[in-house]
Formats: sequence, structure tokens, C-alpha cells
Amino acid sequence: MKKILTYLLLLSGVIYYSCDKPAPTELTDENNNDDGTEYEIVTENLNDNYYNSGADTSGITQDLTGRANIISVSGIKITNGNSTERFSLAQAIFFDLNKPVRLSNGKIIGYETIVGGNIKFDNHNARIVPHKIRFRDRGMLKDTTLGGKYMLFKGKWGHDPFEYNYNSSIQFQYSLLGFPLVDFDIPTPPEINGSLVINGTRNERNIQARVKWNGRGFGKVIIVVGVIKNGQNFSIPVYKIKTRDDGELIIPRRFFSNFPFEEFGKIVFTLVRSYEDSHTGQNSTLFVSSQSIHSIVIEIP
Amino acid sequence: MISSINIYCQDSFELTGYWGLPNTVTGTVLGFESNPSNFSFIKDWQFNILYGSEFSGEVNSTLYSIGISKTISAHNISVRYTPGYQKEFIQSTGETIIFNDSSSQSLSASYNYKELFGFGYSYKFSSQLNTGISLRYFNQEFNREIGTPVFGDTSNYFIRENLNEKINTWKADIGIDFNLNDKFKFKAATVNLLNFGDETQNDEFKGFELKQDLNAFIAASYLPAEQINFNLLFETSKSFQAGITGSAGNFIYGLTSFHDTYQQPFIAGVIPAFGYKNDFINVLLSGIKYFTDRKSSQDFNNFSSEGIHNIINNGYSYDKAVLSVSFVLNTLEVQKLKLIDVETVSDIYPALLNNYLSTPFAYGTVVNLTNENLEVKPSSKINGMHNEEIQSPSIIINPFDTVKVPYYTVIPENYKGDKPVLSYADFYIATSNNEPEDHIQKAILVNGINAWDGKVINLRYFINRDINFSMNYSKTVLSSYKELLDTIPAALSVFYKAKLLFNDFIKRLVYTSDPRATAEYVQFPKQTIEIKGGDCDDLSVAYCSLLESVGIQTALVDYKPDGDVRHVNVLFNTELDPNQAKFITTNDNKYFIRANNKSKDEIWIPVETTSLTDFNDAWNIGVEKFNKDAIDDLGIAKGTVEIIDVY
Repeated sequence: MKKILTYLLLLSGVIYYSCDKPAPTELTDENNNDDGTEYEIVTENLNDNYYNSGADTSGITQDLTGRANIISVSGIKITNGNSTERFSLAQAIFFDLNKPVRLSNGKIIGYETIVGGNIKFDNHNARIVPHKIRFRDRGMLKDTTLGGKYMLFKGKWGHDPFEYNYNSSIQFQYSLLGFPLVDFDIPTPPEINGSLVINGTRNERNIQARVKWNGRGFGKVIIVVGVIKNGQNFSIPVYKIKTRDDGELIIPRRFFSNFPFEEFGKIVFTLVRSYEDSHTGQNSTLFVSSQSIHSIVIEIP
Repeated sequence: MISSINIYCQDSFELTGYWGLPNTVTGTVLGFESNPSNFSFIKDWQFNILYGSEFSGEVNSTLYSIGISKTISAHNISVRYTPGYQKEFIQSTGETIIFNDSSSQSLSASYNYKELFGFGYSYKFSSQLNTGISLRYFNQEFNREIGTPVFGDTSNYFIRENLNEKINTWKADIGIDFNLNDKFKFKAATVNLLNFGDETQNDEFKGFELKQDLNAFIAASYLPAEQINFNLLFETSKSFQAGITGSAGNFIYGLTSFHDTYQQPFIAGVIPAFGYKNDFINVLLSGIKYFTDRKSSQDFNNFSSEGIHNIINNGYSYDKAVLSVSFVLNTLEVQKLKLIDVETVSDIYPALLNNYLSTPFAYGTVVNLTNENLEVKPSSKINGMHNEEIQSPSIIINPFDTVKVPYYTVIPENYKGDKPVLSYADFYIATSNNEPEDHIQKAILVNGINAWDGKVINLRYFINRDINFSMNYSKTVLSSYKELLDTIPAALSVFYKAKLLFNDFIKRLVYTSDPRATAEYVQFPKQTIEIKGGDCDDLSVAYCSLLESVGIQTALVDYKPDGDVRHVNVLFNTELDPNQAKFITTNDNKYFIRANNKSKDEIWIPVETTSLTDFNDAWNIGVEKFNKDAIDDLGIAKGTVEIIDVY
């Protein structure tokens, strides 16, 4: 009897080890065939940021690397407490990729710009202003101007006549003596309106953020999470999250549990719904960006 | 951490279908799903293995379960290991982390549900009622890749981590089976009665645990014939299973269709099964065919909102083919015969010796539990008389028949008990392999060695008992009359021998009535001669024994009671031809012509053994009583007088 049982158990063991696992079932989100959510840390060192555009995050959300000609229009809202300010911004920057600007260690941090010709947004002539960047080199904080850029800005500090019309289009014109007129419309996305629910506190390291907005159900939005140091008025972006434009995103607790909140007083959630395209001219390609931006600034609980 | 938790696990679905309670399949003994009471026909050990393949576009072969059970008396315990009772889901979470070098990593998650072990215990109260409990162990393991930010003094970056949680849970259920009769059988059981174990800690995984409400099921089987049984099982979750099962010879089949509340369409699938069984092995090939297309890729949103209620049968399960093999490892024979009762028809009279070789002293009521003809070997053993069983003749019992089986016995010649004893007898039945199938013990009265059952025919056993003594006695007497015997005609030799023996015999005897009040007491010839007396039984027995010991044919004349006491005397064969009667008497009324044992007519004369004067008186009295009772009163015709040949 014992022998028979032993043989049977041995046989079972042989069968067991020669078997497969039952086939798994792969689960997919049938409602969304596109990619889900991308998470990226955009500031490798919170002390080495060189963006100084304050609440204007339009330059932050765009990866300008390798792009020579950039046309950008933005409709921006900044909600701080109970007040919301609106801004309209139009910019055109032309980089000379043959003239890189480097840190002492040789790392390229930008290119010198080129200014020439006349640019209009919705028939409003753009002004030429310095294109400045701030960076840390060998421990020293430095400001430098890379050249000029074209800009129209309407809002708290600007009074240009340009108005960013949502869910519409903006006419762009570029004229340079001796060259044919470059003329096209830049589509504008619907206005994005966000809201925020924050649970937890920095002391308990259990902050969790639920970001809501008027989702379209298709396409993507970018949410940039930044922080503002005490006594300063510009944000340092930390996370760039690209997700479905479905109206809600819960940012997990672990994203904040190890964050060094000690130096920072405020946290900024910037929602960006953008339209990006490239426009090919005779000799060059223009990168065109149109963004609806809503930044929400709150005290870190 | 052990805590109470509302995680529910499984229902009554089984890979081989639902078989109800017919005894056509033994493999279901280890199916805790539809058999929480562990009802089993197995008498000893059973080993069960379920092996199968799953068709998900590719074929995966899996060992579903290994189990073993053991029946000890009315208790049954079972253990099973179920490595194939598992279901894994893998998911691309849709999340991607981008590292500082611009490389990216998509994140995934997995949800793995396993049932690993099961234990069962049952107790059979009777052939109609069985109840039991099953205890099953589940393991759920959830994994999710996450991007965790790290903030350093000089660099911030993402790392990929694995979030993992294992939840170990137990569940217990009870069940009861009731066999109303051979045609209607019922069972009822709980589903997810008790659940206990770990509680999900991580918010990311809450809601993904196995789901199912507390339920119960009831089931009924109707067995109009062995070839076809109808089975129906209904769960309070509003799921049900219906099927037919049956057997033809050694072949078995089953077809179960099932409705699952949590699956589409209404009849979610069928489970056909076909197999072979004999006393030692049960092989069953079954399959599960779902009526919806089971894709290897399905919607996460449904899974997230509805979860699964059963590991082996859910909306994501694939079609399967399952081979079930059960080995019946009996060290004990499965009972084929049952001894329902034994009726003792006679007390034991040790003096009767071989009487019990031809006359049963008891009858057993035996039923053949199998579907084949069985040779039944009855045997018995009387305590204080036998050291081993006494076999009775075998008989054949037809399938499922109930018959009366006679028990015979043998009285040991050396049995000396002189007082009645209330003893007991063990009655056995066995099949051809001589292993006892069943056994009953009954009280029985064993009388003393001189007890007589009152049947005159049985006095022959007393006559024969001391035949050697009688032979010596007769030869001694006759040798003393050798000269006389030598001078008489040979034809009269028997007559004179009988006369001389009688006259010698009675010289030292007195007649006494039966000294025992209840059972009649008969002395053996030696006793009668030694104690010099006896009643009519004793004297007739002794005289017959003396005559028979020298070859004289005798018969006992039984004058049956007619308001008076019963009487016995002796008739012996003179071996004279009827025309030689005149050599012994001229009175034709003093002898009778009877056929001897060779059918030859010869002269017989009656002797009243209680007449202790001489042979002639005894002859005359014997003749007188015989003529009156047997002839004039038509006693022989009426049956009140019976002549019983001693041999």
C-alpha cells in the first residue's frame, strides 16, 4: 500500500514538474487604445533650475531640444487662492543651431537666437525682446541673454493687444524682405479648467493629489507639478505628467512622500492642453505650439 | 496577520461536471466544490489526479489537482493539493516612467489567484445520512510596477519598484447528504460559510480580491435506472447546474450544463464527460466548452469593476479538457454482501451430532449488493463448542437479490457439556475469496449432552453414540450362549440373539420416568446399563444399540401423545422370511411383515422395552400395544404411530 502510494505521488510529481501554468489573461483598457500616463522628473536638481518665467510655464512644457524655429501661442490662467488671472502670450524664437551656449563643463544649455523680419499674430506686430535664461555654473547662479525673440503678452504686466481665443485659431504672419510671406493659422484648443483636491499633509508625508479638469475624452493633457520656494514668485517644475484628456488624475502618494518640501511654500499644478504641429516653409521647418494652460497655486498643506 | 475578512472565494462548479450522488463515479470524492460534505462510497483509500489542458489560442497543460482520501469506519478524511486551480491576469497599467536619460519604461501589473490546499472530513451517520466539512486555503498575489521618485542632493530621478501583496485566506463549508431511497438523493451545502485570513493592506489592490457572496446550494438526484440519472443543483446566487449521468457496464458518462450568474450567455457552457471504471480505477475524460469566445486579451475595466468569483470558472476561463484518474487503493474489500439478520430455528442438542449437517440450525438473510452473481459462503462458530468456523454449503445469489441462507454446524464428538448453556454464535458470510463480508452474533441455547429435542427420529443419535460399548456388551452376552446359538437353525439366529440380549439386558434394569423436567433427557446405552435403569426412551435406545451393534436391523415405534404421555418401544427384524414365521410363533398377530433395507419382506416383531420380566412378555406387550394403537386404531394411517428405522 505504502509503495503504491509512493509511486503515485512520484508520478504526480513528475507530471507536476512537466506541466505549464494555466494561461494568463491579458487585460487591456478597451476604452483607450493610446498610451496611458507618462511620468517624468523634469528638474534633475531643484537647485539648478534655470527657468525664470514665473507662473508662465509655456516654455517649460515644451521640449525645445533640437528645434530651430518655434512659434508658440498660449492662453494662460493662474489661480492662486480665490483669484484667477488670465494672460495671453505669443512668441516666436529662431535659434542658430550653429551657435550653442555651453556650461563650463561643455554641456549645451541653449543656442543663440536670430532676429530678422516682421512677425504678426492676428495682425498684431510682435515686439522683439531679449530671450533670457538663468542657470547655475560651477555653483554660481548666472543670467544670460541668448539674443532676441518676438513676443506679444497681455496680462498683469503686459498690455499688448493680442488676445488668445480658445477653440479657435490665431493667424500667424512672418515677412522678411526678399522672401515670400509665411502665413498660416494656428488652431487653438478648448480652454482647460482645472480643480484640485489635496489630501494629507507634508508633515505626515501622505499628500495625495486628485486633479480634475474638463476632459475632452480624447487626446492628451500635460500636468506639470512644480513648487515655489518661500519668498520667491516663480515655480520650479518637478513632475511632468502626460495623461489622457479624460478629466481626472490621481497623483499617487509616493510622488510626494519623499519630496523635500522643507524649502518650499507652495505647490503649483499646471494643466496644459496643447496643439502642436510643424509648418514647413521653403528653407526651414517651424515648430508650432498652441496651448491652453491653467496653473493652480496652493499652499503646501 | 489573521483577521476576519469578507473575501469570498468559490462556488459549486467542478472541472468534471456535476454528478450528484449516484455511485457511478468515485472521483468526485475530492471535489469539495459540489461535495463539501465529502460524501464517499470508498471503503478505504482513494488517490485522485486531475490533469488537463487549457485552450487559450495555445495549449497549456496543467496538473489541476492531486488528492487522497481514507475512510475509517464511518469517518472519511481527504486532502487535496490543487496546483492548477489558479488564474493569472497581467496588465499593462498604461503608465510609463521616463528616466533622466530620456529612456522610458512601461509599467505592468499582475493579479494571481490560487487555491492551494483543501481538507475534508465527513461522518456517515447511516447509509442514508452523511455530513461533513471542507476547509480550503487560498492565496492571492498582486503585483504592480510603480515609478518611485527619488530626490537626492544632486539629482532627482525615477526608479522602478515592484509593489507586492500576498493575501492568504481560508474558507470552510459544511454539507449534508440525504439518500431518501435508491431513486431520490439530496444534498445541501453552504458556499463560503466561513472566511478568514489576511486583509488587503494596499489601497492599490483593494477591490481586486476574489469576490462572492455567502451562498448555499441544494441539489437533487433522481436515479430511475443505472443507465440514466438526473441531477440538478441550484445555488442561492441564482446559478444552477443540470445534468444527466449514468453508466453502462463499466462505462460511465455525464453531461452537465451550467448557468453562472456572473457569465454570459444564460447557459454559460457544458461539460461532457465519458469514462471507464472498475473496482480499482476510475478514468474520466471531461471537457468544458464555454459558449462565448474566450480571448486571451480582455477588458481591464470589466475586470476592475466586477472581479472574479471563481478561480477555475469565470468570465476569463478558457475551454478545457480534463483527464481525471482515481485509484481505489482498498486494503479492505468493498462490501458486496450484507447479512441483514439471522434467525436461529433450533437450540443446539449436542447429542444429535450429524443432525446439524442436514438440518439448518439458523437462517441468515443475505443481500447481494453488487450487480453480479455472487457465490456466498456462510459459516458459523458457536462459542464454547467450536474453535474455528464451520462452513455451510455455498449458494449463488443473483444481483441485488435477498435470500435466506441456511447455516449448518457440526457437533464435536468430544463435546462433554452436561448442562445447558446460554451461549452465542457468530454467523459469517463470505464471497469466493473467503474474506468475511459481514458478521452477526446471536445468542443460542446449547443443551447438555443428554438433552433430546423430543423427535424420536433423533434417538438414533443416542443409539449410535456408544455403539462400540454396545458391541462389546452384545458380543460378551452372546458368546456366553455360544453353544445354544450353535445348535439352533441359522434362520432363527437373529431372533434368538435378540431374545438372549434382551433377557440379559433387562435382568439388571429398572424402569424410571424421565428425571428432567423441561428438556427431555435421554441416556446413552452405556449410561443406561451402568446406572441400571431408564425410561422408555433410554431402554429403547439401549436395546436398539445392542441389536444394531450385532447387525440386527431395528426401528423405533413412536406412539405420539394423545392426551397421554408419549411412548417409544422397539421393532426389530428377525430376518425370517414370512413363511418361516411358524418357527417363532403360530400366532399371526405377533409379528409384522416389513420390507428390510433391501426391500425384501421379512418378519419384524415389536418389543416393549419397559417390560422388564422377560423377552416373551416384552414381545407380547409390544405386540398388544402395536396391534391396538397402530393397527386397530389406525395409528399408522392417522400418523399417531410412526415406525422410524434406526438406519
